[in-house]
Amino acid sequence: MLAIREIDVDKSLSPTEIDRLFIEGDRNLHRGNFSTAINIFEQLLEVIEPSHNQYFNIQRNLVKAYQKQEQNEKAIALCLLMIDSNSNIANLWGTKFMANLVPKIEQEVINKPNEQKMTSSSPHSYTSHSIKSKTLSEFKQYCQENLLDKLQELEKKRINTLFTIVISGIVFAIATWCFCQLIFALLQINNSVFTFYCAALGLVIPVWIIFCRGCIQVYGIGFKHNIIEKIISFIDDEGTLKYASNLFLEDKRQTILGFTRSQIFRDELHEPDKLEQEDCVYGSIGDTDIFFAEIVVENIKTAYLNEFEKPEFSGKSSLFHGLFFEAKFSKNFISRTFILPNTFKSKVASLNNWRGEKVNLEDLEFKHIFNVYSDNQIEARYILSTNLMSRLAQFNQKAKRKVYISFVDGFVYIAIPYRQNLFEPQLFRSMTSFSPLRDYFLDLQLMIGIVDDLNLNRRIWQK
Amino acid sequence: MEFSFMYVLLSSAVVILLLGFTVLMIGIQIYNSLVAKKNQVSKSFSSVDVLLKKRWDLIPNLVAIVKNHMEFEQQTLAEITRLRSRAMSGDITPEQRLNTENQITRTMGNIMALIENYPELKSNNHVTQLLESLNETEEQISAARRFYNTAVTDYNNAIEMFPSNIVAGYMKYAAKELFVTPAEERANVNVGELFN
Repeated sequence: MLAIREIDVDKSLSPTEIDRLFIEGDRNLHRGNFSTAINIFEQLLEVIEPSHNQYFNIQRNLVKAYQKQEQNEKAIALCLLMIDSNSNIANLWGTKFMANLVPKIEQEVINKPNEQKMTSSSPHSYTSHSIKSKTLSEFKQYCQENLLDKLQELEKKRINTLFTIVISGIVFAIATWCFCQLIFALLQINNSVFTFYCAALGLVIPVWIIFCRGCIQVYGIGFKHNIIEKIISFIDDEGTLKYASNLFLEDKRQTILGFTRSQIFRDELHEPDKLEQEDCVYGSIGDTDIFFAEIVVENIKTAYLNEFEKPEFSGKSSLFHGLFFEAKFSKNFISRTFILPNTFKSKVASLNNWRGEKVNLEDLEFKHIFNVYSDNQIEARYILSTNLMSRLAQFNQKAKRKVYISFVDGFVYIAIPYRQNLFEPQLFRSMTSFSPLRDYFLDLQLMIGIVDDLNLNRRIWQK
Repeated sequence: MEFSFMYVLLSSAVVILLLGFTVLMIGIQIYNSLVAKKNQVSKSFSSVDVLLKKRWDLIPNLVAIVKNHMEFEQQTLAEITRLRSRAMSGDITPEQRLNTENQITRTMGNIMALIENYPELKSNNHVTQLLESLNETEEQISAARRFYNTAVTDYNNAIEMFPSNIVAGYMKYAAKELFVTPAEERANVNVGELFN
C-alpha cells in the first residue's frame, strides 16, 4: 500500500519509478493482494502514456487482477479497450483473453476483418474432425508416388553441391599454394614456404566457407516448398493447415508473445532478447486452432554499461531450440500449470518457486515421467484429468524426448527441445533414401497429432 | 589424563542440553508440519464444499428447463429436487451429507443420460449450455476430491509414521476418511436400464 500512496497523478514518473511500481503491482498480483495490485495498475495507467513500453504489461496485469477479484465487467471493458487500441500486441492479447471471459464477444472479435492467426473456435460446437494418423508404410508409398521425381532431382543437386564444395576446396588449396610459391619466387625468399602457406590458408578458408554456405543455400532452394510442404499436405489430408518456411515481423512478434506467455522456461516478466522461427505450421484441426514452429530463443548477456550508459553485450546464451506448439485448451482455467520432465532441477521445489506449488498427482507412470507445479491445486487436477495424464505419458513415449508443457490463461504450450536444425535438406545423406524423409514425417506428425493425442477437440465444458 | 568431576558434569550437561534442543527442534518441526497438513485437509475440503454448492445452484435451472419435456421422468426430477433440499438443510451429519451428495451425482448422471432420449432437448441451446456447465462443475468437483484425497493421504501418512505418530498422539489427531466412490458408481452405468 505504501507504493500506491507515492503516486502523484499530476506529476510524471521517471522510468525507474514506473518499473518499480510495476514490479510492486506484479508482486501483489502474484501474492493474491488483488485490490492493492488493481490500485497500483489503475493509477499507473493514468500517469503513463499509451506509447510507454510498460503500458501493455500494466493493462494485461490489470485485466488479470480484475478477473481474480471477480470484477469481470471491468476486465471485459479493459479487454475491449485493448482490442480497439493501435497496439497489435495488446490487440492480440485482448482477443485471446476475451476468449476466456466472454465467448460471444470473442466470436464478434474473431469475425473482424483483421483477423489474427490464432483465434478461438466456436464454443458450443460439437462437430469435430481429426486428422487421421498415417503409418510409415503409407508415407513410403506416398513418397514413391509423389515425391520421387523431386527427390531424385534434389539428390542430383546434392551430389553436384558436394562435388562443387570438394573441387572448390582443392582449387582454393592449390591456388593458395601456387600463390605462395609465386610470392616466394618473386621476393627470392629461401625459407620454407609451408609456414607462409598455413598462414595464407587461414585467410582463404573463411572465404571458402562463405562460398560453401552459398552453395548449400542454393541446394536448399525449393526444398521446403517441394518436400516439407508436401509432407504436411500428406499428413493433413483435410487441407486445413498452412505452412510457411518463414514468418516475419508481426507474426514473429506473436510467437515471442506466445513463448513469453507460456512461461515454460522463464517467468512472464522476461521477454526473450532474440527469437528466430522457421517452418511455421498454423491452422485448425477440428475445433482447435494450432500453431507450431521451429524456434531458437536466445538471451543476450549484458556485461556492463559503457560511458554513455548503454549496455555493452558480452555474449548470448541459448534458452531453447526446438519445436514450440501453441493451442487453445478445451477447458476454461485462469491459473498456471507447468509440466516439466523429471530432472533434478524440476524435482527441487525451491528452484521452481515462481511456478507455484508442487502438485502431487496420483498417476504413478505420469509421476515417474513428469513433475508438476501450479498456482492452483484444484485447477491443476481439473486440467490434468486421469485421462489426460495417461495421454501425456503416452505422448512423451512417442516423442522420445524431454517434453515441457504449460497451461496458461486457457492455452496449452508445448516445447520439445532438439539439438539439430530441423526440416533442412541433408548434405551428407542421400535424399533418395527413406531415412531423412522418415525423420521429417515423424517430427511433423508428432506435432500435428498433439490435438488428437491430448484430445483438444473434446468440447463438453463451458467456454 | 584426569578429568575433574565438574568438567564431566558440565560436559554432560552441555551434551544433554544439545540433545534436548535438537529433540525440541525436531518436535516443533513435526508439530508445525502436522498442523499444516491438517489445515491443508480443511482447505481442500472447503474447496469441495464450494463446488458442491455451485452444483446446487445449477440443479433448479436444469429441473426448470427439462421438466416440460421429460414428462415420463418426473419422478427423477422430484428426486433430485428432494436430494438438493436435503443436502442444503443444515441438520444432517457430514456422513449423511456425503451420501446425499453421492446420490445427487448419480441422479444427475441419470438425468444427463435421459436427455439423450429427447432430441428437442438435445438441440436446445439452454440445455446444451447447462450441460456444459454441469460437466465442468462435475469435473471440478472430481478434481477437488482428488486434491482432498491427496491431502488426507499425506495427513494420514504423517500421523501413522514414526516419529510423527508420537506428536500426533499427543495432539489427539485421528486419521481422516478419503472420498471413496460408492459401489453403485463404480459399476458401469447401464443406460438401457434407465429407460425401462
